[in-house]
Amino acid sequence: MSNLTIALPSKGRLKESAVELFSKAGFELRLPQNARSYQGSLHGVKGVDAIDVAFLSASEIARELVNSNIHAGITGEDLARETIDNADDTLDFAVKLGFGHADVVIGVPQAWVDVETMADLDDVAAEFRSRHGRRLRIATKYWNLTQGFFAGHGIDTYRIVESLGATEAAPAAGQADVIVDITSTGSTLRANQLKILPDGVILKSEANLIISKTKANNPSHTEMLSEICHSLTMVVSK
Amino acid sequence: MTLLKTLEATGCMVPEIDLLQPADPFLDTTGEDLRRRIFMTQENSGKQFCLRPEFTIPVCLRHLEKGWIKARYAYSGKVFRQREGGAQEFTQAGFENLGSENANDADIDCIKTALNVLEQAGQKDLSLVLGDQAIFVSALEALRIPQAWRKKLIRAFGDDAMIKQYLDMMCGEEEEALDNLPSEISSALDTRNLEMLTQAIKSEMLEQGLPLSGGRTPTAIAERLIEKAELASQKLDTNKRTALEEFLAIDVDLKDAHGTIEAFENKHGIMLPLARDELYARNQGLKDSNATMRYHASFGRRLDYYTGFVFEVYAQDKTYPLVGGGRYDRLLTLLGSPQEIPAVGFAIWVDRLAGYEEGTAL
Repeated sequence: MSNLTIALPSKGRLKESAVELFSKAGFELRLPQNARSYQGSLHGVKGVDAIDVAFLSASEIARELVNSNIHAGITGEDLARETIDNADDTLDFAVKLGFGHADVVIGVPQAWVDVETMADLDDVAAEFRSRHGRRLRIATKYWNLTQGFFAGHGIDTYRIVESLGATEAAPAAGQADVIVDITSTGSTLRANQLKILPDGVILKSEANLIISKTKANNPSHTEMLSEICHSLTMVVSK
Repeated sequence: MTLLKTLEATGCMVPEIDLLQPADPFLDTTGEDLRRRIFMTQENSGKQFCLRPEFTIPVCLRHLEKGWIKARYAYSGKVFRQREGGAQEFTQAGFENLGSENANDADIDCIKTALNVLEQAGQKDLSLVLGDQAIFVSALEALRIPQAWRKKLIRAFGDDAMIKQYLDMMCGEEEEALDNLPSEISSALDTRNLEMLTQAIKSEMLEQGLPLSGGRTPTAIAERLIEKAELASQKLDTNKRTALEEFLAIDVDLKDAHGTIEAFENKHGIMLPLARDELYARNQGLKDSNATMRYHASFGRRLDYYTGFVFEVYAQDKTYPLVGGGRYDRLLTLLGSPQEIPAVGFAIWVDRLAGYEEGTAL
């Protein structure tokens, strides 16, 4: 064994795409032996018999990467960047994998005909309290990404309302004024009478092979990972 | 004598302020972004608390709770902030003067108290820099900057890059921002008739199933849309921009500030009586002080409850201020006071003082 651990998504489309990708790249990926096991292995990397593969949920993979418990993993860029500030300091977003596309966007009610840019939203947020007796409320589960993006636009006069499901319904339900959520086609937002601000796209996310810079720090790990990256890149760029 | 004792001797009460504070007043007044810079925790009930990030808000809340009209407060203790590369836990001492009606006297008293406390604590070669948002506002008025632009510039005051960005917008090409409006709203906007526009927006909102109250109302949207249309059509001429930039670049010894403003008035044919009088009075009030003093026209704090003068005190060799303070007349109303309560104060970064060692009582 190599002491190297890579984590892959344990379910859904992300898992299927990740498994397919490794096989196209010429590796042999052994899935967990039974339904209760989350441990698999990867074969075909030079100089090593097998590499440990942990099958975890996408958000767990982000957390394990940030905590330096695994060397590398496949998960959404949005989840990794949400889990830690200044993610590039500790994580290497090594390969963009071309699946799991999702944009993290700001959605505002279509009826806000005066709001078309972040600068407009800044104006609205600044006067919100004096006009409506409370701060502008943003429903999201992306606290970090939202705070970072709004701070970048000089906007700090707002409050976040945590939303763990059906975020897009929050404005119509009166729970929030605007939302920050992921969308791939924008159709859910449109169905909920929300519009995306053109300069309010916080992140264009997709699945990435992400390497923990702090964990993967010895030469043999780096070598194995760069071989994997290289092979995956060849498949993705085809 | 400790910092606290020196402050107390100027007639201050010393309220007891809990280490664990309800988080909402801090997040509501400063904004959500504060969450990243303080230490949050919560009760099992979900109620959110934070480790005391500063004293001003708790002192003001105490003032309101007791229903006092006028009081001077002093404090000293640990505060907790997330700081990159810095200590997360450090000592702050400070002073708040709430409810004093004579703003100018209270401002001068506040600065003098800060300088006095520092000197008593053995700090030497102090320099003071002061700025004033109210003076900036009076300059915007005197230069007849359109109302809608004024609001943006006032909000950006204290952030030079943001001011520049707005000035660029104000002088730039006409925007096509209003091209995407639904046709009924667009034609209602052309009439500049608020009632018609409100109706058009209201039917749009009803169609989309949006609540008409509790959030932005059709009237609020209509008013801002008209404001936006005005903004797009009122471009700033370059003379005014130059004048505004000249004003913001003013950075002079306080004793020359009055003369500098006068020269600025003459050059641009405008009157800034507030600026002239106030800077004159400040200089008169502070002329016996040992510190060097400058007025910097663009110096401000980007917090919407700071409305007037702000100041910082530096030791000569330091890049970080030892003291930050100013007037925050809007804070107590934000915290729920039914009437405006004038407020001014400062905080000392105790661990930046010369001769300070952890555990010593300065």
